[in-house]
Amino acid sequence: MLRRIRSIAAKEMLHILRDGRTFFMVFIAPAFTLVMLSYLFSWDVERFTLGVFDRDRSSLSRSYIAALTEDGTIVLEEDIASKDRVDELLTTDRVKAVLVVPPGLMERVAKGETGQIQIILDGTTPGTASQLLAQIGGRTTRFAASMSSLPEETLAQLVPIDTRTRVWYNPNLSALHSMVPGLIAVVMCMPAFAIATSLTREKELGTMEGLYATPVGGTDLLIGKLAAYLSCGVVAAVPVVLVATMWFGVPLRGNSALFLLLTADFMLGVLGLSLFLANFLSRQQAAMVVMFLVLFVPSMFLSGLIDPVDRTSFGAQLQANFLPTTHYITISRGIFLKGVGLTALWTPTLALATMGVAYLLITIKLFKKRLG
Amino acid sequence: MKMWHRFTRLVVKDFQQFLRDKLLLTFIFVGPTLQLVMMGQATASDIKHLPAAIVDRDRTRDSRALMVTLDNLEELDVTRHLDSEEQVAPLLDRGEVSVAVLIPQGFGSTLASPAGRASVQLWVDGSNILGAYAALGAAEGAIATTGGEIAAERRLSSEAGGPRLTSFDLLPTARFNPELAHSHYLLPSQLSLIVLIVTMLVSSVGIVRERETGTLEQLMVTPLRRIELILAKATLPTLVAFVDFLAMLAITVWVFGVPIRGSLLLLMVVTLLFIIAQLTWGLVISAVSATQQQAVLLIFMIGILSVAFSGYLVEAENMPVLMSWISNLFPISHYLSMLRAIMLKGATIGQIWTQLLALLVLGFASLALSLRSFRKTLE
Repeated sequence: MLRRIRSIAAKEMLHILRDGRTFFMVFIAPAFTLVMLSYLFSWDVERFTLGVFDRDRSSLSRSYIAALTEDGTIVLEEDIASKDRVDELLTTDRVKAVLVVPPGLMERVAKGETGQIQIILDGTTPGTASQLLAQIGGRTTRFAASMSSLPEETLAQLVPIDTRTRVWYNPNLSALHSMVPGLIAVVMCMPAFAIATSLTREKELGTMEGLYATPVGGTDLLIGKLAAYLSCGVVAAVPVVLVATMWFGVPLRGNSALFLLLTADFMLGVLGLSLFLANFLSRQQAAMVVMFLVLFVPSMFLSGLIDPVDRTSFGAQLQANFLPTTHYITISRGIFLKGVGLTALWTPTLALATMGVAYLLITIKLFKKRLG
Repeated sequence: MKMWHRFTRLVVKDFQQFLRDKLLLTFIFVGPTLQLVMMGQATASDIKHLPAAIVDRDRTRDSRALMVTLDNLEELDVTRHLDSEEQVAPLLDRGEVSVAVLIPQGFGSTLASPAGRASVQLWVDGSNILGAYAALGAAEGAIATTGGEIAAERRLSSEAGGPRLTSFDLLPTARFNPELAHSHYLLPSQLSLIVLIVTMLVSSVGIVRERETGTLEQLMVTPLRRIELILAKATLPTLVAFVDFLAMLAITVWVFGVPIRGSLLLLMVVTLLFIIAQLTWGLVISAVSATQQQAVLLIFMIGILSVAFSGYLVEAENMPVLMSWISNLFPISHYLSMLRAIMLKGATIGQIWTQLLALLVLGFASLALSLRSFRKTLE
């Protein structure tokens, strides 16, 4: 039996290497797609355009605006003269926000009252809007602090709790560093596409019947295919890791050998799912469509890649835990960003292995029935 | 009259063929719906119930009050009460908590003294960035509010109001999308991508299939002129893409509440223009690919490129200069910015005419190119 599995695996391997399309799907597409998707899913903004409607026109408002824009992150696009211009600028995308300084700001502040400054953000780009607001907020606090030179003791009296924030694993909160390890899980689904088309192609071309006539049984065929695609998938992970670390500069804090080992674990889970689905299909195109709808799209949105999966929603938990990608995202972010080992990752590891073995056993069972 | 008859026959034949292809139909109508709904669900609601750990080394009334305040936040649920700092790291490592708050010993007594300052540590898991932002914003905000209340009490108890800090209140309002719902940004992106993929898929697969089965040559020997052939072949994809657009628009508006503030008519005209401009790309693809598989692979690549360059998530202005220049060559980047402007900002034709013009120019340019490449493949 081992020999039969080995010969099937060798045949599949040869096929993957010789057939251009499969080769592309297994070895090139994951790294290529990672580059594209990473640009797509990172929203670190480095330059914001701002319009200012200064109705105070005092020395205070001028120095405030200068403090906001001094380092070039926030660019003063236009000094607005009339109210109508505000909407015009926002609608035509010239500015991301308009700062409205009310008349009499300087007098109020001189009297010791809180100065009020209005910010009108372009809500159509929520990510940019909240980042810009955070930037302006930080600069405003610093500007206010620079104005009042109070002794340390008085300051403590006025701000009794001081929060010391520390962001673990990703200190600059870089979207790229967070997204790239997550997206690795999405692009590594591609070998699963290839194995699904490979199984259906055998049916479409009629070579499956040829195999029935040989001593190769369903078990040998499925395990052989799985072994071939699993090892190719692990090899394909190498360029993916290189793209992540060398091109995007994402730190790989954990053990890279462990990462490849757990990639094999993920391959087992996702290829098992893929074989299970392909078993019901007889056309290559159908396999592509089903894989796209069942695996690829949910992997983007239900796996915790973008938003964390809601802990309290049973439905969301169920969907997420049935996706192999969810567990692999935990593993990938764990090894890349957190630098953790197997002790922290055994739950997703076990989940993937269980999933893979279970799908494989069910598929073998169903497959035998179809042969008989 | 006769020409018109030939033309309609071909269009009717295309429709029959299209309706028979159950797989393509599923992919075109079910796929996008599923995608749109999942995306809407994943992004329409705010991030809630992130698990939090509290290390309370103070165990006073004040520390418990702070803990209750944090637990009452929608964004956070306090799931772990720990005794020491060392217990936090393994929980963050395993992702069991997203945020940890460390309240030091003496927190309550420091706050009770008139000028004491206690410091609270906030540890956040930055590996999922949106979760980190939500946890940070909520926890920092709640702690600052608690601090503000204590400061106000102190001021009341001290004579003459005490000294004041220069402070500014920022009053932010978000124009066009007051709740800053991410779905308002993402769903139009997805809508434009669906229109792009469907247009190219239907237009190129239709012609490539004729070539694969050898019927393209039969079409050539019919009295149909080349321009009639192209027009007839363009009718089906235009209609299908437009119907798909209307269906997806209905979901976007009625299910997820994204508004259409501008003119619906203008939106439809712009969409039709975009479909026609993108259709010509489909024709070029069909001219260079020999099999349906090749065509699908090419569309997949162009789809990914379009997404990357269109400002789907990253706005074009934030790209490197070269990339943002290239992005102008993709019809979708102009279409998407018009789509957002019309739907969310209520822009009028006068405010979007530059993008409209760009789309027209690109449409004509690729039409000319596709006519040439199509003629070549026919001859």
